[in-house]
Amino acid sequence: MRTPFRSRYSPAVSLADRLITRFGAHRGLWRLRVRIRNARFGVSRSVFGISYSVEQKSGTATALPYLLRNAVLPVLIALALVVAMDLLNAPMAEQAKDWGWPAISAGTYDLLFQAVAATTGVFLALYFTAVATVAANVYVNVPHDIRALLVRDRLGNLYVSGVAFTIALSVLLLIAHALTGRAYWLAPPAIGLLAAFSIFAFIRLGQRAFYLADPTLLANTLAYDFGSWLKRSKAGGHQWRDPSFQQHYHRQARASATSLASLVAIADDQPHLRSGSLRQLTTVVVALLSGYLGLRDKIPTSSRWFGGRYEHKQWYLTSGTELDTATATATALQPATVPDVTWVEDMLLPPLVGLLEADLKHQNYEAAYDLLGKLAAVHSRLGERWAAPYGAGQVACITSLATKHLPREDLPEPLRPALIPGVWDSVAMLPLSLDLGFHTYVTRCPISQLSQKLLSGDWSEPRAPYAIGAPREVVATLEKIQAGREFERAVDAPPATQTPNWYAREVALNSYEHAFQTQIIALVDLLTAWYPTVAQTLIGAKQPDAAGAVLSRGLEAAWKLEAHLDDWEAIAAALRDGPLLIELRRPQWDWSAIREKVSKMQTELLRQLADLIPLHAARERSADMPDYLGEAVHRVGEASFSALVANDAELFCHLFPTYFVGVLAVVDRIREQAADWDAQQAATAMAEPVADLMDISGFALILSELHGNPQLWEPCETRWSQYLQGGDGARRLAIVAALHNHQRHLFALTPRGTGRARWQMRVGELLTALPRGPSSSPFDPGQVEHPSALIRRIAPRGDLLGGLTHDASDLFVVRFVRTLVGADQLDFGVADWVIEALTEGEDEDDEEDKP
Amino acid sequence: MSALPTNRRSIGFFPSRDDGAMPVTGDGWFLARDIPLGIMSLGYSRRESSFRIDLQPPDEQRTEWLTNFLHVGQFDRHSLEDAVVDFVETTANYFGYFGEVYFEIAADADGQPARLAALARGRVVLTPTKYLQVIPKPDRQYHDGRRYIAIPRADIWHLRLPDDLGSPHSHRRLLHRLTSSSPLAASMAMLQSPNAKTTTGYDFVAHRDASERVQERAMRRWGSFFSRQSPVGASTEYFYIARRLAFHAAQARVREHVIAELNALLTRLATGHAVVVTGIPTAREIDDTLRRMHAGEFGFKEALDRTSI
Repeated sequence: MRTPFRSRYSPAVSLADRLITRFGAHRGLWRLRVRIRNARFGVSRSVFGISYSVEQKSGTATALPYLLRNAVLPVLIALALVVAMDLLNAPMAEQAKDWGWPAISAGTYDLLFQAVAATTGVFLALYFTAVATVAANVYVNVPHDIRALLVRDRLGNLYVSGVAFTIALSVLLLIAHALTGRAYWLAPPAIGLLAAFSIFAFIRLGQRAFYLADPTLLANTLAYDFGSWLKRSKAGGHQWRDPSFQQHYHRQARASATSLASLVAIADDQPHLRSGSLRQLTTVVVALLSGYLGLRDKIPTSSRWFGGRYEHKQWYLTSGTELDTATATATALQPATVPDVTWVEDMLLPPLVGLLEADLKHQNYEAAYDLLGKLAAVHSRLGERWAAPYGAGQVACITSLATKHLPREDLPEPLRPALIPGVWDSVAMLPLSLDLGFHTYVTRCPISQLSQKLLSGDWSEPRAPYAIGAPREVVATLEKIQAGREFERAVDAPPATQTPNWYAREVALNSYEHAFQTQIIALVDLLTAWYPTVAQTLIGAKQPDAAGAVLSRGLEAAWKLEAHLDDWEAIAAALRDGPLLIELRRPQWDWSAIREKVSKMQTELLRQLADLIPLHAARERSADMPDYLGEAVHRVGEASFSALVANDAELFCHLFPTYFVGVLAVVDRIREQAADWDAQQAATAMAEPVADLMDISGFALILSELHGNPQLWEPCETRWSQYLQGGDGARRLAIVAALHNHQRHLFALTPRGTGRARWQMRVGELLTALPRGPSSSPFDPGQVEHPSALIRRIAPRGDLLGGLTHDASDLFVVRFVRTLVGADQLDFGVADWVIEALTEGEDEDDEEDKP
Repeated sequence: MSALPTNRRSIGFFPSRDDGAMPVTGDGWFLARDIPLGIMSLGYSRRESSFRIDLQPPDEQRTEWLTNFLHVGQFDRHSLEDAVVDFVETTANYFGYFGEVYFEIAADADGQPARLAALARGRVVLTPTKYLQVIPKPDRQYHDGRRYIAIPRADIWHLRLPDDLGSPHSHRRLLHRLTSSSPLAASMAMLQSPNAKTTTGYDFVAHRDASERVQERAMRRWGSFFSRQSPVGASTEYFYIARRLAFHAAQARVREHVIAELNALLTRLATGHAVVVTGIPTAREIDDTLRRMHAGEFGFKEALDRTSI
């Protein structure tokens, strides 16, 4: 590349660099450098001090409207009176003259100011007395930082300033009068106004003094302080790249966070604060945490805002320069300081978790439920900011607390038992919140959009890495690109050697992909392990309602996770879009293994749900409690059908027996409730679950033939035989016949009819897809080719209306129930033509089916 | 290879080191060493590639003459290709350390140009009619106290760096700057002092970073030499690769310049021939590759493949 001949140094190389390079071996240079740096820091610190002071004053000024709002009306009335008096002054003067009043004397003038000074002084003393009383009684046992908050109360400070100013002005006016003998006409009204303001504002402030007894009200001051330090630490804040300032911001913010944590501990300790105050305080802490997490990635990743912890280096994995230095100087390797990214979360979450533990311990489930709801918001934000592994740690901590403190069956029942499953439901929401937060972020910020931003950004601009709202890992990569671009500018690199945006895009998207995979693995691991494990623990602890709540959330999580996986796979593919020009280490994806994990979790949850049915069935129904039995039976029924379709005999054998029991328990519960219903309505309600069960049994018969797997039919045959042929078999058979008969003669679409129709269509599709023999006419699709005569008989014709021509429950009745002793005398409501169609040539079929 | 002709005027000698000049060390030495490194195709890769050196028009007798004429390296060369490669590498080596080289065109007994002989390091003064090879003071005692050797202007072939890589003087200044700004040496001196801990404010990282920036800026025309095995300071991998390509381009520029100067000399000597080098990326091609890589047409691997010798 031809480059024009240039002078020795371009201005791009800084004077500092040149001096350091030229005189680096002289100590004088380094001493001078330190002095310059200190002086520069001193100037920056002064500038910062001034701006901070201005900001504090403006912050205090925001309290002025509050005081004015309360003082303005009385002051206006006072003004109106003054104006009225002024208007009436001439006639009044005349009147006074008539009455013989003397003119205003100098003595009165002085007396007025003395009185004002004395009165406002009393107010000042009263205010401080009130504050001191509160401090002595309420704040005597609190740390100093909390007590100091009292002094920083903005409203009080403004009032004190105003009153002090009034006193000072009065005194000065008195001095001026004493020295010069002149009385200012404007002075009495001005002092009068200030005195009136002091009097009326004190009323409001005095009322507020009572609230100072509640230290939690001071949390807003702390949150405000924390936010102001956070704002400065963000990209673009005052001296945001200067490590000294970063350190200062960290120290100040840490002090605010520590005070906030202390406040939570104090509020937790004092019974009178454990209600509205505490709720308000936790709202402030959670809002602060959520807000902070939203802004955290706008702070430089290596900023001293994050503090630091030491990480020791290894001699055989250290860079050459450091190794040479350590060797030459016979010193140890200097440990690396790594940022403590989660220090704020680590400071503020434990007090909240401690609060939760106290709530659970004291059986204050309502407060625990409320707090868990707030924690779910924090977890959602953690997921959104790609902190799933950290969130998983928090979930584990909260789970262990819940397992430890939530009552077992051997303990006395709490007053509102429904709250316990409610609390478990909230705990179960935490892992899901992480997943939802993460998914919301990745779908809200499409890769194409991110890619475009990466291609069009000016990466030499120091604030650019933080402007696109990328996750922390991508920000770290973009910071390196930005530092590289800054280096290139400093060395005046020719254009073609300057890092182009396609490179920035490719390495940033690669970082994104790595971090994306880490999050997905963490989330899938957490969700697929947490729900089955916790549910199993609760089943073992004989807490069926709590287990039901967890399983319900678990199935929701599995369903959501399954849907999210499709989106995530598309995102992972989009990350590899476009030309990949650099050989980077790229993540390996095994989506089928991830899906398999989720599918296994789903199956495990369904098994556990099935295991819960007998426990639910043995309990009384409570209107306070969600219908966990109904949910379990419904879901296990759906899962049984899926297992039949998938030819999973092992799963079906596990699910069907408890499903059978569950359906009977549901019918019993409905029967109890339907005692005073209309007979038709009651029969319909009771027939619905039975119709589901008989349909599933019919499908078991069909699909065992279709798959050539008799194990699918065996559990049905066994269960039904035991139920209908025992001591009470004849009565049960009659009930089943009556319910089926009723159900078959209903013309209206029942609530569960749609679900059964869906099952029927699915089986119809399976049969339609079977291979067919040669067709004899354009309207004959040909005979289905299948070894089972039953399948050949019931398979749809394959035309546009193709579907099962017979109901599965009818088939079940005709092929099985009617064969039982005593059943031939009963009317199951199956039409004669259906019976004929399903039994015609049955003997031949059986003969044919024999091997 | 035949011995040197007897009518060489210049004196060949190894100059003494006590001339007070700062030795080229550190990164300056790396640059000087790397300039001839791989400037021509290496022997084993030459056999595998399409690299060729031809004399145009072909002439066996002239080829044999040129093979002897260009013998300025350390080893005997038996083919024109080897001789040209060796000549370019040796010249680039002189360029690396001095930015220029003076060759005396030594004649045979018939007064015909027979061999090139490089003048030893030291001052060469140009007068209206002659070049004066100045013998450094410490070495005069070994050469009968002579202060200089006068050589006719027509017998000297002066080769210097191409203009866009700077003058010989600026190149030597660059070497000295690289030497003096090598960060580790200064840091070591500072850190190894017994009272290192009391040296107020010494900041190794700041020292190293400043040196790296100054060095990279100084190397703007050359790119980064091969001895830099990893990205410098906060620079990116792209910058590292691009600067390597820029160094390849600078080497190609040196090579093309030396070949062009050689052909100009052959024209001056009225041989009617020219040396043609083919099958090796030219400076223009490398520049184009760098430009296209910057535009995102291909990545590092392809760019390096396209420019490798």
